[in-house]
Amino acid sequence: MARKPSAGPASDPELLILSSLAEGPKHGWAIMSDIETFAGVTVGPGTLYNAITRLVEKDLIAPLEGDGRQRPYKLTARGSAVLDEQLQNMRRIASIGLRRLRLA
Amino acid sequence: MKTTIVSWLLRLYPKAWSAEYGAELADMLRARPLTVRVCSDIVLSALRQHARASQVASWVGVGLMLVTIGALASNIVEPPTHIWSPGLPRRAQPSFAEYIALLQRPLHSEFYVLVLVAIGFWTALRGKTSPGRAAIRVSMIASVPLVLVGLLMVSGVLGYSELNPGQSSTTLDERGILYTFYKGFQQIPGPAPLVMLLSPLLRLPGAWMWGSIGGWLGRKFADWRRPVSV
Repeated sequence: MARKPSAGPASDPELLILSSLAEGPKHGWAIMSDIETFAGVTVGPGTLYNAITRLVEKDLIAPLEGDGRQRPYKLTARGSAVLDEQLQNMRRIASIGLRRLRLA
Repeated sequence: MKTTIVSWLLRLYPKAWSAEYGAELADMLRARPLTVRVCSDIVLSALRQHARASQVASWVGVGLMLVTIGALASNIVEPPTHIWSPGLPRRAQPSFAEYIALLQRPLHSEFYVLVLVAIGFWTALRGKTSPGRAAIRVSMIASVPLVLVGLLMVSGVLGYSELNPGQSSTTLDERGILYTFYKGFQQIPGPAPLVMLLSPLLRLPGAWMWGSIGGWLGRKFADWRRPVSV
């Protein structure tokens, strides 16, 4: 349930979580609030934890020992590389698209 | 009240998933308003987790269950005029209609046995459970429509008729809602409603046996493929 589908590919929950964790480790609640702030997208709690599950399985993020019931998650080295690659691709596509729009 | 709803929502998830992430999700749900959108998001996400966690046997069982539903529905709407059975003497090459009639009884056919042997074979190669258990899972899921039909028959909602060779088939228009059993060459009586209801249980030993045979074949195949070390 990532609302605001107008955000297009940038509303993919996995990409949003990776981008949020690029700043540093966060627990689920903080990730959700951060995504709302920087992307303007509300990710539902079920969708968020489904994406977290997939990212942990792919070894892109990892849980840390937390105090209380909320565990923080951190970006792994592999997660950083994947995020970097995806964002570079998006930037390349965005710049080509914008350039063509200006030419049109 | 909110705590109760949250605990009910969390019960929708697979147990293994809840053990890993349940406490965190519960904390998050307690801290925010439980709107319809949030609840539907949780339900959908729990379904996705079940789909991810389920074994191949469950999907095969669901597939076979759909075939069974189709067969039962077609038997009620357009019953077969006669059933060809491979073990019996036949007049000539069975016609296309006879093959269709055979498919109308999927859980009695060789097709069902083949599916059980195949799932046993696959489980021995890839699965984490025993081949016999995987076949039992397939059989139980596939039999759900039979239990429902049995319940409808026992409660009198669904009628039942037996046809002798030469008799014309009943139809929905002529006789109402009827499950039809064609006696065919063997002249055996059709299954009683109570037998229909309990038949899934009666199938379990057979399912286990066919699954185990498939598992044995799968292990032999794996041994044959394994390179011999010198």
